[in-house]
Amino acid sequence: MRLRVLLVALVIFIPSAVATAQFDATQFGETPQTAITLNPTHPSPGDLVTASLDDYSGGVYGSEITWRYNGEVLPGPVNQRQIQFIAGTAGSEAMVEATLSLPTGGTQTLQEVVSPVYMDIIIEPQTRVPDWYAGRSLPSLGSQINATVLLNNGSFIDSQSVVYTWRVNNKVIEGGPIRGGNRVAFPTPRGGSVIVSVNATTPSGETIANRAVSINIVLPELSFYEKHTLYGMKSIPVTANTTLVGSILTVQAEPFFLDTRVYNNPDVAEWEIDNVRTNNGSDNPYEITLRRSGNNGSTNVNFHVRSLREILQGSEESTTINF
Amino acid sequence: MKRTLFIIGGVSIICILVGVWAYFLFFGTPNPDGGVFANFNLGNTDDPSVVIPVEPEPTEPLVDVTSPERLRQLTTQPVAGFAEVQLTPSSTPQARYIEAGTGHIYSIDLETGVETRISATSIPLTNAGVMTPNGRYALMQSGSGLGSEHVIGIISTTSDELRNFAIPGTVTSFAATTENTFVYTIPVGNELVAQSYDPSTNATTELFRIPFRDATIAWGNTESGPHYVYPHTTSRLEGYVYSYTDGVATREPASGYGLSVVGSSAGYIYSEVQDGEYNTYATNRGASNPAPLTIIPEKCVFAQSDASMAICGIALTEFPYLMPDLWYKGEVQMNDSLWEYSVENESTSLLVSPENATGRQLDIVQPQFGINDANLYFQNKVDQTLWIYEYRPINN
Repeated sequence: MRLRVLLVALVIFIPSAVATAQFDATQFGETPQTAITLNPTHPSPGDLVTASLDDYSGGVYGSEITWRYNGEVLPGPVNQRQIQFIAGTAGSEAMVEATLSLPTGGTQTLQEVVSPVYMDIIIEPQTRVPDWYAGRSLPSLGSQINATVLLNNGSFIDSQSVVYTWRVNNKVIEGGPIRGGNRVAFPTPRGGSVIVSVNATTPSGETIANRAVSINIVLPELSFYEKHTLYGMKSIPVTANTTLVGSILTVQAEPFFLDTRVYNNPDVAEWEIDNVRTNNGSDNPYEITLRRSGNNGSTNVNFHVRSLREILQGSEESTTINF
Repeated sequence: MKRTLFIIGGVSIICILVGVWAYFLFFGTPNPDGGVFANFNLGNTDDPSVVIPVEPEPTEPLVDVTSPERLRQLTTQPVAGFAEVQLTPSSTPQARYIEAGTGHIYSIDLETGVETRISATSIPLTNAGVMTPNGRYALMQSGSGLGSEHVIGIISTTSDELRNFAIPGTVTSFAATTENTFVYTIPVGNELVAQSYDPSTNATTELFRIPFRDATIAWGNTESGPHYVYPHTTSRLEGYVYSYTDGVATREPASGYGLSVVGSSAGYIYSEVQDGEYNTYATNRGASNPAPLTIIPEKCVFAQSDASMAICGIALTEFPYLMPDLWYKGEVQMNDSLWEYSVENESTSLLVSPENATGRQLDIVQPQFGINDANLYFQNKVDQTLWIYEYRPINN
């Protein structure tokens, strides 16, 4: 009988205790309050920042609101629940204040400190571009991306004093937050783009900055360039308008944004001259030497490079050489 | 009758063959090492009686420097590097260039137009180079990629021989300073280390460290800088600008896609893609403003005498949103004019249109001022030839 009463009591009281826990925030020390929230929460220098007055207690109702930035009253309409300002320079600290003159008398002042920090995410895809190319390589499917975060609050913040949490497409990588882990490498996932986000905190967990960047994933592109035995590669590509002036022309196929591992060890590297597969006769699979035959005419040159393990890691392109 | 003719012909052929055999017997066979087909030993320098005529120094100008045109083409061959040098404070400046492919160094007297080869030491596959303003040292890149080599050459004043030695490590970027030193970067781990090398003292000094590797450096005129550093430019990834002055890094308030920069102590010019458009801005005294014209910053150089004044190659054309990638790949070529751009006054003025002045379209790269900013040198990207523009003519 006692056991039966105890079970009934448990069935009745335990669910209500859980339900109370969901709504009674006071038992965790969180009272409904009025606060300033910033958007972005951790601005970069020069960012346009929106400060909003969030009132969960209803205490703002009927109050006169005065906004101050670094002690100076912000111009504009009065009694706004939202204002905008430009974040200061890196390393500076500014105070945003909202003074509430309550209808019941008395005032309440809310404050938020703004400490702008640059958070630069430098993406260094490990794909092939020619040495003379001044631009950066771009990520292609399966290639490795190296990413580095640089925090700057007037000078570079020592990465060893920061805990970094990296996410790729919203999945935490590197097994979780890493102190001093401002560099990561990860393979380019499938899809048209990848979102890389970083959260940087102090070792005690206080957020310094957070940021996300979207990176477009490209397909490798192939271009042909004339290679001179003395001068090296010309920086203007061979096109259908190119005319072979001398008797010999060496053409180099340049697969832009091909995974460097595939470039160095391609499964397929084939040349075709006028639709006939040709041995390029060189140790360099990306190079072919053409010799003029006859007085004039044109030749179609085709090159195909590909990995057979990652089929999108490759490119095929043709061009016409006039002579 | 016919038999007689055959006999006479046969005997004649035999006589000729005997004569040739006798010649080789007494005068020797052609030297196989020389790779020459018919070495008749004429003009052998072992024979003191043979006088080899000495080629006279050219007295006629090889380069037309006296032309009244302020814009002139200095070379017809591709050039790997160039500089205006002044051997002594009182001497006349000379234009010097490094021949692409050979590494030979030539000097052009800007008064007489006489061109002289001052280094005949071949450095094959030379494709980039710089020289110190005192004309004594050169730094050249031979080959490309992992197989490239960077050679420092000491130019002789008494012979056309270049004493040279290679810089250890992989050099990713280099320049000469007005202090007659070289500055360059080498990758170490995940960083780039910027160093200076003084060829007169053989001293190497670390200048600063860049915390990533895919960096482009717009070098300043002096070791102390400012040097502007940014990740290699692409319209599809974000870039950021850092300036290094006296080894101290500053994050400049410029970032964006397609970002590239050129700068001086007074400010900098940067371009980036915003909302699908390639736009240019100039920052002076901390304030950034849109530039009147769209500029690829790599086509600009700031004057040494006025750090707020830049000369830029500018094409008045529509810039695709994929700039400057397309220009880097060579798929887009520019028809540039030379413009003067004051970042302080935010004003531009046209100096010269090469197409109007010479009838040729130029895609201007590597602009560089000479001594006292009197002359501006640059290359045409299409054929790598060297050009000069008299920015401040001496007789004006």
